[in-house]
Amino acid sequence: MSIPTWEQYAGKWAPLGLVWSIALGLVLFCTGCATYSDHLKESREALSEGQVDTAHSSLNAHLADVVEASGPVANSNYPLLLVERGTLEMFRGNFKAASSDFVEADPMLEVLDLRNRTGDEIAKFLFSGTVGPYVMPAHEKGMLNTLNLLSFLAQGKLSAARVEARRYQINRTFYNNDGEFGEAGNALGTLLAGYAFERSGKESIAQRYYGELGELSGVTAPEEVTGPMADGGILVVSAGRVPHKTPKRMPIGLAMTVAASHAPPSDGANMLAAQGLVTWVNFTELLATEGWVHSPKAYLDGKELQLEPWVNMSLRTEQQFEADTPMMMGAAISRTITRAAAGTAASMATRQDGWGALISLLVQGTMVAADTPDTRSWSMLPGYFWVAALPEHKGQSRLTVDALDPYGVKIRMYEDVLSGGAARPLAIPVFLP
Amino acid sequence: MLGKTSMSGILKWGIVVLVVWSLGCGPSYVRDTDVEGLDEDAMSTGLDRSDLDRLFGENLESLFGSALARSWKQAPGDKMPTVAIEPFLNETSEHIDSQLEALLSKLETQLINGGDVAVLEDPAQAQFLITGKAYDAAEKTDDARRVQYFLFMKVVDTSSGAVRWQNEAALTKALLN
Repeated sequence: MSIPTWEQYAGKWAPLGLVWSIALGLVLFCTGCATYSDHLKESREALSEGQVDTAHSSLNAHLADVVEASGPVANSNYPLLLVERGTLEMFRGNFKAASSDFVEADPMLEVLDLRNRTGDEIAKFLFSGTVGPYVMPAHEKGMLNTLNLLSFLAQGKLSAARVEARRYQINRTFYNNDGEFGEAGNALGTLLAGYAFERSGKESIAQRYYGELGELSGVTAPEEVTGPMADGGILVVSAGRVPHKTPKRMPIGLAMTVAASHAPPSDGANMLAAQGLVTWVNFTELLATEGWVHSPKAYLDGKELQLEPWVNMSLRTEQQFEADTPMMMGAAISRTITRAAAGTAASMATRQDGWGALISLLVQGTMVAADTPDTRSWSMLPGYFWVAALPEHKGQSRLTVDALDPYGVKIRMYEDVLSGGAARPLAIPVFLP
Repeated sequence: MLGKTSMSGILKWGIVVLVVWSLGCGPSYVRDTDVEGLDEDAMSTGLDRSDLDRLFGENLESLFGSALARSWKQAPGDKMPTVAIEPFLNETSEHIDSQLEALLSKLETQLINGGDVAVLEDPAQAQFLITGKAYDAAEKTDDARRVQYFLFMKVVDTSSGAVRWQNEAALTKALLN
């Protein structure tokens, strides 16, 4: 093969020049383009080892990088990272800081709910899974209001807790009214909303929430809830974390098998698979996130409290991922076909087999590098929640929470002396790493 | 030649676009004196200064035009009426507690500087009690989130329990797609 001169092919490269510019732009755009889960890996692993402060520092550093790069704007990962940091503040018991982050993030995420996403959706099918800001799914929206409600109750701020309860209700109504979205409600948010109104003297509103608890599907809820919930406060214990997303590459043949169970494969995909080429599809898989401890037990003045399993967010996350898989896989296969077509176009534009093959590989390789799977999700969200009603007590009480470490050894995870009467916190969140 | 020009031209434009984009048009901090109309646009569905001024203005106009305010003006100097203001309740779906505190401060300032009443810290000592409540009707659809605010205020005569004045001001904020 003789290497042609630049002048020989300049005229034929005009359309290819446009392809190059786009491809080069994508590569430069994605330089250092680690996925979201890559950026949070250190934080996630630190939390799984019980090092909450290390997890917080690591996430804070990444948040600072995002702010420096694109500013504290809704149209970036900033709102999601605020939610992640707020969750870590809950783990640290810094409820004021947690609420500050949640209150800032919530309206930004609301803007994204209403944003016209047509362009983003098209680009996801052509170029990359991470185009456009993260749009929180319904169950995460509901949990955002829930955790903020819990945080305000822990601070004794009943007025702010009622505000959050109303925001929770608005989201529940919104997502339930639109058949396209999943359900934003959860048993913990409904319980805490009722409790906030009950402690505010609005018993009729409280009973409406308590009565709804049995209607929520897919969660563990008590069969019967009657009367005032907890005169001495509510203890909420969490452990584990929801599964997180991680990038995965799979051969197109396997991808089509996965997609076939949800939607028929396209001609383009069949053609690529039939050629026997090793064409890769960039996709996302869900991996379990192990917590440091499990099986919590709570005691008040040495007497064991009945911790009721209340919400299984890990299961909800898995269900949401399963529901999203057809669209995500379809988009991933579409991106693969787009890459192959771009490569073929580049090859045909040059009209020389040697150069054509090289340029085709270069264009496809560039687009593969730019095709970043979307691994964004609320990865610090606890996986399991338990609830116990604390009995009313006028004097001080000692509250302790124990759990088992990875080796099955019991560890004292939380200990505090609770004031009695009106000075006792309305809610006591204990988030175990 | 045409092809050579097109090729180099396209590549040059591509590089220029990338350089300009990489320099970035990032956010920057400004003052109201730097940017005309900075306070005019709505930036959230919460209550900003313009909203507070409007709600406050409507309620205060009603209060100072009322028979109660006229009776305050006519009271002899040594028997100036005493007023206390209770914190306004937030019964909305927005975190506007700090804005309601600001509203209370504005009201307090106006009453003190008006000179017709004496403002007391302790409600138990005051002849009149001013209370307020903000509530909303909030809705959300695919294309919009709308919050209709109502600020309700009243003045209660603490000796008789009679409501001597009340008024409600309203405004709407929305996030539209």
